[in-house]
Amino acid sequence: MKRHPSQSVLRQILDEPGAVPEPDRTHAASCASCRRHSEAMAADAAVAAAALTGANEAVDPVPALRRLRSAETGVVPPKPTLADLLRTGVQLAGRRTLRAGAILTVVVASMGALVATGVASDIIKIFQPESFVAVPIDITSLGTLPDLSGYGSVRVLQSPQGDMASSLAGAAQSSGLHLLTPGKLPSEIKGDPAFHVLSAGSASFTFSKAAASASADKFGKPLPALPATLDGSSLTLNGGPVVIETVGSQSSLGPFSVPKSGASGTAADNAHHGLLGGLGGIPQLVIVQMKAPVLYSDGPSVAQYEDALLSMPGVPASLASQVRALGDLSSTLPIPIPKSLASAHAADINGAPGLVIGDTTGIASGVVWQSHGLVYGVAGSLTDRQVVAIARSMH
Amino acid sequence: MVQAFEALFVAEYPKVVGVANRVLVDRAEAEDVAQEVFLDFHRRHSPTAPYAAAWLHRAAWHTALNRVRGRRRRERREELDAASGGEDGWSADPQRIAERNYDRDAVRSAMRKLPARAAGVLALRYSGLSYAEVGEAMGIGVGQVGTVLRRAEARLKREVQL
Repeated sequence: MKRHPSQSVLRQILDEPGAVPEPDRTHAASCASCRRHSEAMAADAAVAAAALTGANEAVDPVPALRRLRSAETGVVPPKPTLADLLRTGVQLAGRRTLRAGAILTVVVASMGALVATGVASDIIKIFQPESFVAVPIDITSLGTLPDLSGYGSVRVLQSPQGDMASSLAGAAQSSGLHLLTPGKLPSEIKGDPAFHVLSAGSASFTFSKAAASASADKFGKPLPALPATLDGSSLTLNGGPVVIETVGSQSSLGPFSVPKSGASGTAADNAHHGLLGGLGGIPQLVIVQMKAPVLYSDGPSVAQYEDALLSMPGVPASLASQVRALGDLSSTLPIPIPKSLASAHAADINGAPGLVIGDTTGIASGVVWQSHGLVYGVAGSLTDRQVVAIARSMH
Repeated sequence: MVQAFEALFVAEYPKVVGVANRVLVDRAEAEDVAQEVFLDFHRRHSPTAPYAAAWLHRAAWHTALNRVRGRRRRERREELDAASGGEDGWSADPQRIAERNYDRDAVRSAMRKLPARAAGVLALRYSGLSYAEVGEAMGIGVGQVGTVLRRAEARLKREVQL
């Protein structure tokens, strides 16, 4: 008879079952003694919930920030900025195509965030991806797309700090995440796993009408009419921590470092930033586990942002129409998929909707899904079927 | 640095208000506590500090608990509010006001009587923080949160059902 889960684990199963190892959940569900304990805990929790969860009104930080400014003049400047952790992705991606893809992800994710949270303007919007949808794009059209600096200013507010961990447990402790591990791997994947931990990060993007106008000039087109509220409005994205597990290696690859970030980065920190450089090659399997990012906005309405971003010169008309056709993007993150290089289809990952992406040559595949507030990705030099099998074996 | 503070504020303010409100059972006073907590943090810490969120959550819990334990003028103000016909969109019906005040008083009284650790875990968890966030704010391991929470819930139940 397996040992009973601790009282703490039984209690956590009631709130965060996904954070508890599967064997404990299975035992708790099948053991009469554990069920009795759980029922008693649930009864007490119900009383506490009735007493303490009565006042769940939405809290708007914007007027609160104004109030703070008035209380402490000069401490906080007059304009709140907003962020975008995907900025980090933009920085990481040296190649033009990757950069364009990251930018597009930022754009559509931003719109998804705005659409996701409703209708009103001038309030903070929140977006957390729960599922993913592919948006096929023409890779050749991305070459003309300006990066985010063409529309305003991007600033890393809190740069993720990279570090290595010696084991899954070490990575879990360092990141604070409950990490899953894959079951049996395909025989061609050989080697010990390596764990890389990135701390939480935050970045902001502030829209500038002047910058957008300059970008439009490069295309020889006038800037479309924009709402006055758009100029100076900002987006903020908080993301991470992230744990990247790599297994095996195939060929040589140079160091691939997390960008240094202002005052918070040190030489010692940066010495540990290599994600792939220390492995001596491209890993055969990469497993990413991260806390779902959250996006905030302080400014224009949903319709204003969507219309403005999609009408910018340089944004392919086909992409704009595809994003518009997605309709309600509530909790859904569109992922641009270059048509000539990759394809995508949906797959169920233990009850969660996953998006499988494979390159057209069959060399590599990946799958991404979300569960219990964490975003997971599995990719490697494997077939679609293999990455899905690995994803489903995560426990 | 200022931008970082604003990002931190936007991300954490709702949570800080939520934690304080679970202890105070008073939204306006919870926002007062949140303002106090953020000002204090701003004066003493870097917004990029890795412990920023946990510090804010912990400070919200302690500040709110100090308030609810330290004085009674809020109760007196509520009595005046009830006499003047209600606020916050609640019905002005005297019976509703009486029920609401009974509930709020009972919860606030119970939270005041609980040990600080028990009141803290309840405020943190029922404001929506994850077990990992609760653990960080309380300085305990995630594996201990369930035990502390379970005991606190049992204690709260006894208090509110007396």
